[in-house]
Amino acid sequence: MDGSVTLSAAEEAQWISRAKEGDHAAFEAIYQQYERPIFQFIYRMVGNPEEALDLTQECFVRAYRALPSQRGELNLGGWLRRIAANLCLDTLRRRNRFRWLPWEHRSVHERSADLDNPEHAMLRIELRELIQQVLNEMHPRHRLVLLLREHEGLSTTEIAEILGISQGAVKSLLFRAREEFRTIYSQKEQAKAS
Amino acid sequence: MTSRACKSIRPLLSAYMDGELSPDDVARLQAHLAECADCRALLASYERMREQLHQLPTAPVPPTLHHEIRAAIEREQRRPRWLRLSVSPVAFAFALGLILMLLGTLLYAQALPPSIVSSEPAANATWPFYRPVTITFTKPMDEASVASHLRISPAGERERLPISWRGTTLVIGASSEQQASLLPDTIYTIAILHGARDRWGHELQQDWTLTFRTTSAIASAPTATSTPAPTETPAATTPQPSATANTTATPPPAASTATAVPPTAVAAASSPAPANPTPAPQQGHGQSAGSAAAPSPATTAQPPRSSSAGGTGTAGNSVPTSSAGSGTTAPAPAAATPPASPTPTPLSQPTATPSVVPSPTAPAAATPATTPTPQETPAPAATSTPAASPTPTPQPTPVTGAFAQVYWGDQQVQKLLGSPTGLAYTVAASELAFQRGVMLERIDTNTFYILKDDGSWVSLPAPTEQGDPASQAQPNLWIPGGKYGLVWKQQQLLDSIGYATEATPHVMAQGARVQPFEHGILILSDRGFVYMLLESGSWAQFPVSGS
Repeated sequence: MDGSVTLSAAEEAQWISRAKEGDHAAFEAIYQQYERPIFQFIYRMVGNPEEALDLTQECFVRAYRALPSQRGELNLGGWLRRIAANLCLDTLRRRNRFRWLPWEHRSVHERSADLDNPEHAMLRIELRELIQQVLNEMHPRHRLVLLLREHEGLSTTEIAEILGISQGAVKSLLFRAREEFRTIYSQKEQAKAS
Repeated sequence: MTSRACKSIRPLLSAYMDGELSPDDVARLQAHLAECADCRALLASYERMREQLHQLPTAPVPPTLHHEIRAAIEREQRRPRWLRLSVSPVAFAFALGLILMLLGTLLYAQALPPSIVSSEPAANATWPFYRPVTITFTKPMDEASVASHLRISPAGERERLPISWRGTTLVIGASSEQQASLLPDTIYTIAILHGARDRWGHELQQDWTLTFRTTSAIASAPTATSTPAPTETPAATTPQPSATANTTATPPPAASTATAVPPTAVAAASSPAPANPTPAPQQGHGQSAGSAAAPSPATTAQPPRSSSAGGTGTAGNSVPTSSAGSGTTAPAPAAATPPASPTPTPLSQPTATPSVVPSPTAPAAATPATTPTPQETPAPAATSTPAASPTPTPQPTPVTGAFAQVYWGDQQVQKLLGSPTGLAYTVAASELAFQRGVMLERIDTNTFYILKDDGSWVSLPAPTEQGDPASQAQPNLWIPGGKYGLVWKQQQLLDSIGYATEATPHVMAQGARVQPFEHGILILSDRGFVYMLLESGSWAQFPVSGS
């Protein structure tokens, strides 16, 4: 079911207020809109599809519990990511070691393109593996901020809101995250070369 | 390139990537980049990183995602609202278990009746008179209920001594506002009657009493004096040396330690009720505040005791002979042993053997042995009794009220007293508490009763003259005045019952109730005690409630 729905801001506000009043259909419309991006985000953070599925469910259950007590205008996407981010950080904290599973799944689109040039496809896969390993070894908080910025495309302001920190702190975190990524990446490349 | 310049520029690169730099910073950065190959390379690596991250494949979304979320939400909807806590089930169960356990122990503890764990001093101990007494309960008590079930002898002490609580501990003699010393060289009996309730309404199952003696104010002074005489410990069964009973004033040397005050034969009563002359304020020394009463005693020389026989009699003498031996009737254990018999037990075991004594019923036998100056009409009640015909008809004469509590509540008492020989009646009376005894005056028969802590009692005709007014001997201690004073001096009672603990006699506003029995008499003082006077010459007191 590829039935992701796209709601306008006004529609979304309407759904939110109805969901707050206990309208289950309204809440379903909400998770229908956000379940995929949230799953993707969580998957990137934990690297395990089964765990990502569980955490996505948990994320929406928490949202369902907390929605009635939300006051004022709600940035739904940011709010859901915030819940997801906290869930992921909690999960990663509980796991002593972050196990990043190799990416076995590729989109249909990717696969068809790769069919044309198997060699090129092989290289791309290797590079992605490398990047994922780098992400894997990063500090979870650095990984989170980097993913929110580079993968989710969120602004510093949005990230600050999600993480509950100042914009200055986000900039500083981003700088350190990039430095960490670059350092680990070059170490990996050197190791591969030698 | 200067590494210093690079260091200051590099943090800007990240913000530059995000378009978060001010135009000035952008210009500065671009100027640096134009010159610095390293920083250009760094920027390039950042851009590459971005590209690589963008190229990460989107994760395949499980086809069941939507359904699984819906199922999870539906499960959540089915949970009771109050359970929708973000607490893990384990933590929740643990907390619940803990709460239930606490609740269980609390309820269990609450359901138990209260009792008394300990007291300071312990029974029969000698206690520094300047230290407060503490009584610890097993659980928090209803303070008002305990206060109304508290009796302290000597009389007047219940009103004088401040009372306070420290948790489950009752403190007698000190409160947050004031502290008052106990009376020196005095035998105290503290009773907490059954019926005192805890905070949950459970009642103390039985009466609790504590008897102890306070130290003398003069360190070296020999303590404890008491009549050598009758020495009848309440428990003593033997045919009382009633004869000796009268000898009141001839004291053998005293044991300076704890005296044996049979629990039963405690003297002086104190009423829980107000309405009686506060001993304190009178006579100058404001002992109520405790200050005067306190440990200054040493300075105030204790009046010389009438040390007749080179010493003072102690309760000790009460023991040996009579009591120990013939323990037929009296199970009362403690009483027999000389020192320190008192134990926290109900005051109820005096035994006695019939003998000639001032029993109301036997008026004819003018208080033979017992009274020192007998003659007259020592036997009070009987004659004057209105209704009750002195004929010992064992007809069922009712025993009611406070007397019923004492009489019907204790078979031993029934055995000692025999059957009632007349109805209870009211007489005009007063009483005066002493350190180791109490004196009662019956106006109707012009009789004085002297009840000593050694368990013996005597009666005397009241003198006709008036006597001097009372004077203070020590803080909180008086040389009695009026007729009481005359009897006290005449009989040299200082050695046996000590000084009065109140300045003026307590006149019983409603009179005293009196009921005659075959072998004795019951007298109810409005201070919350029933005195049982037996022909044998022994007596006992019973704290009663609701007198």
